[in-house]
Amino acid sequence: MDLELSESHLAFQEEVENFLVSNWRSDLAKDPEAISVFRRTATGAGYLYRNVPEIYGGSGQSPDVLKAKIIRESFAGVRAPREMPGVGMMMLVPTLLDCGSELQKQSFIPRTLTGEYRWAQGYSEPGAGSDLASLRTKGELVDGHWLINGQKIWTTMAHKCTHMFALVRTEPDAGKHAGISYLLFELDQPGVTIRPLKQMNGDKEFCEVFFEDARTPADWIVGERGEGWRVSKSTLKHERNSVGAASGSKDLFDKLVKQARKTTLNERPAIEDPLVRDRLAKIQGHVMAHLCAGYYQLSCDAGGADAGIVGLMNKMNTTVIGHEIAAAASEVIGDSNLQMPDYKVGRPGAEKWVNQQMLSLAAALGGGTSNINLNIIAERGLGLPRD
Amino acid sequence: MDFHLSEEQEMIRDSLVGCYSQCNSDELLVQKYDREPALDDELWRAQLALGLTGVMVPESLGGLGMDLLTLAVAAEVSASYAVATPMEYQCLAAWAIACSDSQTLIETWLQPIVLGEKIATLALSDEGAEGGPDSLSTHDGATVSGIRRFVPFAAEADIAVLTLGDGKLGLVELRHDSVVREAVAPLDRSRPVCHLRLDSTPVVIFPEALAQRLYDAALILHAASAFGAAKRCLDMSVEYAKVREQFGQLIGQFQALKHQLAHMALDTEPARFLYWYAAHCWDIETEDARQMAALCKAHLGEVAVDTARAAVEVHGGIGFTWELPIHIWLKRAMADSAIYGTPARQRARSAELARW
Repeated sequence: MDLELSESHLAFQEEVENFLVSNWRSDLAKDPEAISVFRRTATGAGYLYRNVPEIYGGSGQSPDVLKAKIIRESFAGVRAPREMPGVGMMMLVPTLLDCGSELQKQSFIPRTLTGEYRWAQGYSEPGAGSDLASLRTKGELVDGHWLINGQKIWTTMAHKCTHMFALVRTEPDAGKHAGISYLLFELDQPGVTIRPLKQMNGDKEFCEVFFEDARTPADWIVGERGEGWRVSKSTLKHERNSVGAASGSKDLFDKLVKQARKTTLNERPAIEDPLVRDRLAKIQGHVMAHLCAGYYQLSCDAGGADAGIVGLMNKMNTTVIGHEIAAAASEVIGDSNLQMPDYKVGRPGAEKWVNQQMLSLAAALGGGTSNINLNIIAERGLGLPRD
Repeated sequence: MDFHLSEEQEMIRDSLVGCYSQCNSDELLVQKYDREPALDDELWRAQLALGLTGVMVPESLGGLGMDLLTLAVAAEVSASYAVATPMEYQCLAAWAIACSDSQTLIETWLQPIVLGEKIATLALSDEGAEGGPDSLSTHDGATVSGIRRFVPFAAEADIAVLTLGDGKLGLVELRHDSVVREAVAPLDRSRPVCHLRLDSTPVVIFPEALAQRLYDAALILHAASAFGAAKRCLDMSVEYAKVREQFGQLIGQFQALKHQLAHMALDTEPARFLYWYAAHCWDIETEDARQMAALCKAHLGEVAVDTARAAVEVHGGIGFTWELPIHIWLKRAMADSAIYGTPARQRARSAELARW
C-alpha cells in the first residue's frame, strides 16, 4: 500500500501545474472567448477530452486514471475551466464513440466539445420513471424523416440546450426493450415545446418537453432500429471518476465543520457542543469509509481490475451522506432554518444549508432513485434473485 | 499510488483462511463454543506454526518486519472464523517490547513471545493512552498496584503489557504471587476476560513512551476484528436469503429483504477500506493517524453491531437461537465495539484529536 504518486506522475503533476501558470489567470473566468481559447490549448496539451480521438476534436490520450485525477485536482485548485459540463460530454459523446456512425461522430462530437451543441437527455416520461423501458414517446419514419410524438420529463436544462438525444418507441410491435431506438434531434423547431418545471427550492433546472410531429433526419439514429436500449447502456470506457463522488462528500462535510465553528449555539461555538461533535464525528466515519473505498476503486481502475460491489455503491453512499449532512446542518444553524436562501440578493448566510435539505432529496431521485439503486446493489452486487 | 494489499499480505490472508476453514469450520466452532471459554490450543499451535507472532517485529530481531496493516488483515480473518486465541495481543506485545529500547526487556521476553513459549496480553485503558493519569500507576518505578478490568486471555497469559499513565508502558508477570486474576463470565466466549488485581506487583517500565502508539494499534485491530464479524454476518444473511423459502418463493426475492441486505452491505463493504486506511496511517505515522484510529474504531464498532443485529432479523427465529452461530459474531461485534472505549467515547476522542 502506498498513497503517494510515483515519480512519473509527480513529474506529470508538475507539468500540469506549469501549464496552468502559463495559460490561466483567474481574471479570465468572465471572458467566454478566453475560456474557449484556454480549452483548445489545454486539449492540445493533452489535458482535456482525453478519451476523444484527435480527429473528433479531443486529445486522444491513453487512459490513465491517475493522470485524470491530477488534472482534475490541479485545474480545480486554480479554478481553471475543465471539459464542457453536462450530459453531452458525459453520456452522448462516449455513446457516439462506441455506437455512432462515422458521419455522426464527425458532425456531433467536435461541436459538443466546444459547447456549440448543448444536449438534453430525453429518457424519463410521465408514465416511465424507474420503469424506463415502458416509455411511449413514438417515432415513425415518414419520407426520410422521423416524426416524433409524445412527452419527456425531468429533462435537465432543456430550455438552455440546442439538441436532444432520446429513447423513442419506433417498433410498436416488438417487445418492451426491443421496440426502442436512440434518436438525435434539434430542439429549436416548431414541433418541440419546452416548459421548465419549478422545483421545491424555487429553481428551474428540469423541464417537460412536448413533441408534436417533431422532425429529425432518418440517419440521426444511433445504432439500428430497436437497438436503443443497448446503445443507451453502452459502456463508458473512459477514465471513471470513482473518487469524485466521495471527495465531493468530503468537501461538503468540511463546509459543515466550518459552519459549526462559526455558528453560536448555547452561547458558544456549535462545534464545542457535545451533541454536535458526536453527530459530526459519526458522519465523518461514514465520509472517510466512502473516501477510502474511492481510493480502492481508483487503485483498481489504474490496474485494470474490477473493484467489485463497492463500485455499485458510490451513488447511494453520496446520497445517504448528503442527507446526514443536511440533517446535522439543520441542527447547527438553528432558527436560520426559517429563512429561504435567496441568491439574487447576494451570498446567503447560514440559511444556505436549507437548500442542502432540498437538494439532497434531488440526489435520492435523479439518475435512478435510491430504491432502484438498492435493488441493483442487492441483485448485481449480492447476487440475490430478481423479482 | 496503490491502495491494495501486497502479494505477501494476500498470501498471509489466504493461508489463514485455509487454516481456519479446516480447524474452525462452523460445525467445529459450534461444538467448541459450549466448552468453558479458554484459549484454543489447536488454533494457537497452528498460528504459531505460521510464524505470525513476529509479524511486526523487525527482521534484525528475528521477526517478519511487516506492518500493522498486515496484522489487521490477519485480525479480520481470525474474527471471521471467531478464532479463540490472543494472537493480536501477542503480536502487539512483541512489537512493543521490540521497540522498547530496553535490552533487558528484549533479551528476556522477545524470543519466548515470538516462539510462543510465553503468552502475552495487553492490559490497556483509554485514560492512560491520552498521556494523562491512568487508574494503574507506579509510585516507586518498581511496583504497580490497582485494578485493571476485562483483560483478554489473562487467565492463560504469562505476562501483560499495561498502560501506566503519562504515555508509559510497563510489563508485569501474571504468575507472580501478588497478582489476582478474577474470572469473569465473558460475553464473547471466543475471547475470555479476567479482572487483574495487582498489589505491589513488580513492573518493568518501558524506556520508550509507547502507550499511545500501542493503544491506537489495538483500536485498529479491534476495528479490523469488528469488520470480520460484520462481513461474516452479512455473508451468512445473503446466503440464507438465497435458500430460505416462504410464501412459495426465495425470501431474497422480496424487496424488503433486498433493501435490508443492501443497507447492510452499504454499511459494511466500504468500512473495510477505512480500517485499511487507518492501519496505513499508523504505519507511516501520518499527522492524523491518532484521529483515524479513534474514528475507525468508532465507525467499525457501530457498523458491526448494527450489521450483526440486522443479520439476526434476516434469519428470523432461528437467528435468536444458540444453535445458529450468528450470536457468536454478534457478541464479538459487541465486544469489539465496547473494548478500550465505546463508539461515542471514540467519537469524542476523534473530535478532540481533530481539534474541533
